[in-house]
Amino acid sequence: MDVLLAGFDQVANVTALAMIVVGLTIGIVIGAIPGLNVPLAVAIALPITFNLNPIAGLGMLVGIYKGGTYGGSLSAILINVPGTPAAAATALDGAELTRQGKSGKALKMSLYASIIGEFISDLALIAFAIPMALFALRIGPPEIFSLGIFALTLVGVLSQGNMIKGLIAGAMGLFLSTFGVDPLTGDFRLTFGVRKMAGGWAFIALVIGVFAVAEVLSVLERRLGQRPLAGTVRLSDPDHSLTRNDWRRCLPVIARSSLIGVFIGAVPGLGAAVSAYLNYGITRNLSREPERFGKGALEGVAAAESGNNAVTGATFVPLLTLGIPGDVITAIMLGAFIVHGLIPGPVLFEQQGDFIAAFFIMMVLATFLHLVIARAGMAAFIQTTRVPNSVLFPIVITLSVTGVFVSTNSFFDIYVMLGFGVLGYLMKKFGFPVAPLLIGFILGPLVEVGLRQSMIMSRGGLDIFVTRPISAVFLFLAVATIAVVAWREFRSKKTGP
Amino acid sequence: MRRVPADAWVALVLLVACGFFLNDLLATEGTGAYVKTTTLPTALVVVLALLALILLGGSLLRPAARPADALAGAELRTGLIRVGTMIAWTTAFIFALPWFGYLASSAVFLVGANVLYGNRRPVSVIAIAVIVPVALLLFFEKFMIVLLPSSRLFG
Repeated sequence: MDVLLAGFDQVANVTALAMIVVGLTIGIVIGAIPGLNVPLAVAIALPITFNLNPIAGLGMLVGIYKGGTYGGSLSAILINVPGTPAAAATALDGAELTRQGKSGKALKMSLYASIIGEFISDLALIAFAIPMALFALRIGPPEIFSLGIFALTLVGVLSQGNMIKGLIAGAMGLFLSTFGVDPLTGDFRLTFGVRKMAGGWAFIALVIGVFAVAEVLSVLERRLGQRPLAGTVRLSDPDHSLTRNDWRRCLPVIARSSLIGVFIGAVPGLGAAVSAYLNYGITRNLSREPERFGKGALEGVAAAESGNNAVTGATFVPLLTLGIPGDVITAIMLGAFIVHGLIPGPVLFEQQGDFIAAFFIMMVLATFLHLVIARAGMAAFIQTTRVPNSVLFPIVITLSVTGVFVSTNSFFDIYVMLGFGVLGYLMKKFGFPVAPLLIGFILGPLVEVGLRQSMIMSRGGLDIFVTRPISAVFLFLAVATIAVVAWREFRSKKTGP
Repeated sequence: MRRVPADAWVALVLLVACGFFLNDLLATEGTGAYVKTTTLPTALVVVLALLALILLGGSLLRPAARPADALAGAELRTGLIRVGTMIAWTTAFIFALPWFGYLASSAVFLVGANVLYGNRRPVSVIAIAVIVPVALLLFFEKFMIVLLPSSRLFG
């Protein structure tokens, strides 16, 4: 109890509260702007936190993390351009709901699902930090490889009626991730003698290209004055309000997606985007009406948003208990811990109990403040839909170019972004889903390193993937997913539309 | 004679790309224990080629119905010209960035992009071309302390 009270003292001061609020506001804005991303904002804010006390500084970074992870859904729903990779799954149904004049509904569900996911994640962090980290320790290379394959097969489920095109996009994403230096041997491959290709394709260039630039080009191809999405939104209108039926459909989805998100967050390297896609795919697969997904199913928004925000607390489990960052954002935050003399690991729990208690309280407080700020500001965010396409999309492309330059400081990567934009535009035009390309690209390094380390562990034997129970379960689920989706497609083609 | 479906063309382009990448990968000497540097990319190219063949076969045997909202004829041609112009305009913008700096390049780009998108209100176009680059420059250089491209020509 003394430790809790001491922790509460560290959080209950104006500086800490103000920094959490500033962080959340910056996070939501950065997340909502296509082209800017959360790791970028956290990295840039990092030096600012050095002059603050540890909880205030980390509170700001946690605010950016939580706000940014949610903020991506705003532009995904309102203009069909995900502000963050994790929000791409939200766009599938969120933007469709906006087209149907129900953007308020999608925005509200996105917020509440995010907050519930975050809250469950915070509770999981507090209650299961050490046991979950011990379980995550059992996730070795074979399990990582199998989990990656399972996630990629679910990508096929996301491909809206054509599994082959979804699998091609996923395989293309995996293939694109293999360009540049080999992560294990340091050898060059697929660089074609271009020095700037040594590091492979810049992730930020690919994300902004296939989502933001491709959207800009697709909208331009159609009619100039045509707005693809709704303009004026009154949150109080019945069409924008969540009904009891909406909650009845979405609450079980939120609960399940939050728990899966917590697990994914606790496994280092997977992160919010994987959680969002995985939960979206699972929810669609388990739904009695899978055909509604991609056409404005509120459960799709709930699954993706609770799933991606449920990662935000759980990623601190391996970070705090083992010193292993759960994702790229917590990896950047590790720097803030170290600068403040806090070395994450079991010793931190023994020697800095006050800080750990304060950190847990701060996480819950940030979730509460997130709800207040995002709900109070929602009406203002909705006003962005009133900006005409002719004004909005030139700004989006300028922001995209600026965002890539700020992240990479490379003109080459801006050209790469444009190239991926053209690729994304062509993929959309010919009915290929772009989300699997991204998920394949994200999972690529994990799958490759998992495969190669597993082969070294087993001295070249493939049986390691089926003799380890967790790995075998993931592979079984992958095969089952392909079989179920192929059967569904076969049946729907046989019976006709 | 029946028209070749769009998916078949896409599959053929994919097969040609797979051939190109496979050629490069086979010419690269891979290292590593059990699984070499080039093993996974090579396997992925083969998987992609197989998927492309399935797509090709499927599209020839059972051509997909044309989407109801797909553009056609003159509308499609005008749309593609707009897209091509935008790609060229953005390329010119990126090319101009190091030479003319962020402010000037962005302002000129925004004017052209607004016109391409059909914004015919001069006050709105000029306001966007001035406000957006200045706001972004101030935000990044003064608040975020990240430098944006400066002009090689004008210093």
